[in-house]
This record gives sequence, structure tokens and C-alpha cells, in this order.
Amino acid sequence: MRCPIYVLVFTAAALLAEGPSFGADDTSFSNDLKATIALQGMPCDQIIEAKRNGDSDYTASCKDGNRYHVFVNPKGRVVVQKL
Amino acid sequence: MSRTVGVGLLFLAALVACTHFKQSPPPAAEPTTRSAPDLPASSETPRAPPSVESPPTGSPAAESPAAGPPSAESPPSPAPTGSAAKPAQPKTAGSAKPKTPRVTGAPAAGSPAGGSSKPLPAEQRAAPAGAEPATPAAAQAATTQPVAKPPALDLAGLERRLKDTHAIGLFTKLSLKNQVDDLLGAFRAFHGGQSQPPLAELRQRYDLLLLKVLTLLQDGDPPLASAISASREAIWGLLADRDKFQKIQVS
Repeated sequence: MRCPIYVLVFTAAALLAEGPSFGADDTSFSNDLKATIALQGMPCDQIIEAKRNGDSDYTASCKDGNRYHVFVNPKGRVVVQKL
Repeated sequence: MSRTVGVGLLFLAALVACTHFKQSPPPAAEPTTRSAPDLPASSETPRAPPSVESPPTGSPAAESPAAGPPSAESPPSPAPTGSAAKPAQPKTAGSAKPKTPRVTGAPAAGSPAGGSSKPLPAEQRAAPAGAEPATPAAAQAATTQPVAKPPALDLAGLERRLKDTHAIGLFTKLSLKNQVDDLLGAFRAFHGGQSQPPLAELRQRYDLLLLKVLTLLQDGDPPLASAISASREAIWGLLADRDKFQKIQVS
């Protein structure tokens, strides 16, 4: 019944190695949304949640409580609407 | 007892020989140092001393021209001192080689530095030699830099690098492109005479947009940020000039 310790070590290492990649993607996308919001002159200190509504259509929730609808309109312009 | 006396004598003799041997070289060294100030001596050893001596020789040399009635000629003073110093060499011609550098250092160090700082002449000997080639090199670099700047303005290359960089996300790139297009539209209107936003306002918008781009790039793609920052004025030159702007629009 004793679980070899190296199995636990490899499992933990695999989990740790796997985690940051997802986190990096999330972080980069959050930074993208945050920069987009900031470029429109709207405040957002940190993105805590980003919900995908469709292609190039997101709802972003910021840590400071602000929520934004970020999307690309048919003319190809990025629009940020405060919710 | 005789043995101990003999051994003692031998020991004493060895001590005397050792002391004599130790003393003998210093006298040899001392004369060289003494000879240097004096005159002829060896030309090799005095190299160190000359730096020490140079100030005194320099100061008299500087003093001698200064002592002359027309000493007041201030601006050309370095030249006269140098010329005066060169004649001073023949005066001390006996010491010859070591003193020639002294003289070269003396005019530069010149009268103001005086004899207080003795190492200065030695530095100045090297300084003029190194400084003279350095200034032409700097001048050449300065001349080459302006030549290199025009190629630095590669709009197509910058655009491609901006599109390819991973430092900016897709949404942000699209948003930036929107703002760039808006600014280009404003310039188009400015040059077309349709509306007249003052050029200062356009410059403000341009600076703000560039600031945004640099802010986004400075952490993720510093080389591109520096390239854009370096071509800031060149890009503005293209935008502000009607002819150049139209050429950009056409291309």
C-alpha cells in the first residue's frame, strides 16, 4: 500500500509544471484585456474574471469592481463599454 | 675556544660581507637617482624621475615666457608656452630624452597647475596623445550617426515588428491600430484643409499614442520600444510634412 515517494514527486512536479502554462495564458490574456481597457481611458487595476461571450467579445470584471464589455464591432474597432 | 672564535670570525665575516653586499646596490641605485637630476646619467632609469622633475622644469619654462613682457597675451598663451618650452629643451639638452616629454607635458599642464601636482604632467603627457585621436574618432562617430539614422526609420519594418511582437495582445493591437488610423485621419484632414486642428494638438495626440505604444512594449519587447522611440521625431517629420505624408499615403 505504500506509495513510492518518487511517484508522488513526479506527480507533483508534473502538476506544478503544467500549472504555470495555463496561468501564463490567462495572465497574458488578462493583460491584453486590461491594456485594451486602459487604452480606452477606463480604469481597471486587475482583471479577476474574463467571460467569453463570442468571437472577440468578452465581459471583464476588475478587482476594483468595474465591469466592461470588450468587443470588436463590425467596423473592426475595439469597443469598451462600461457595464 | 679556538673553534668558537674561528666560527665567530667566520660568522662576522659573513655578516660584513652580507652588509657590504646589501649596501653596494643602493649606492648604485642612489647615484642613478642622483644622476638624473644632475644631468647625463643613464637615459633609462631617469624615466621615473623625470615625471617628478618635470613640474619644476615646466614651471620655470612657463615662468620664463610669463616673465617676458608680452606675457599678457592670454589666448595664444598655450602656443607660446609650448614654443617656449621646446626651446627650453635645448637648454637642458644634456638630459635630452627624458626632458622632451617633460616639456610636452609642461606647456599643457602649464603654468597654472604649477609644481604642486607632480603626477599631472605625466598624465598630461598621455592625455594629449590619447585625446587628440579620441576627438577625431568622436567626430567620425558623430558624423556616422546622422548617416545611420535615416535607415533607422524603416516604417515597414517597424510595422512588421509591431504586428509580430508578442508583447502586445491581439485586442490591444487592434485597439492601437484603431487609434493610429484615427490619428492618420486627423493628419489627412489637417493636410487636406478640411478641418484645421492645430498642429500642436496633433503633436500632443501623436506623443500620447506613442507613449501608449512604448508603455506596452517597454517590458515585453525593449528593442522594438527603443527602435520606435529612436524614430519618434523622424516619424513626426513624415506626418507633419504634407508632401512626405502624401507619399506615405500613396505607398
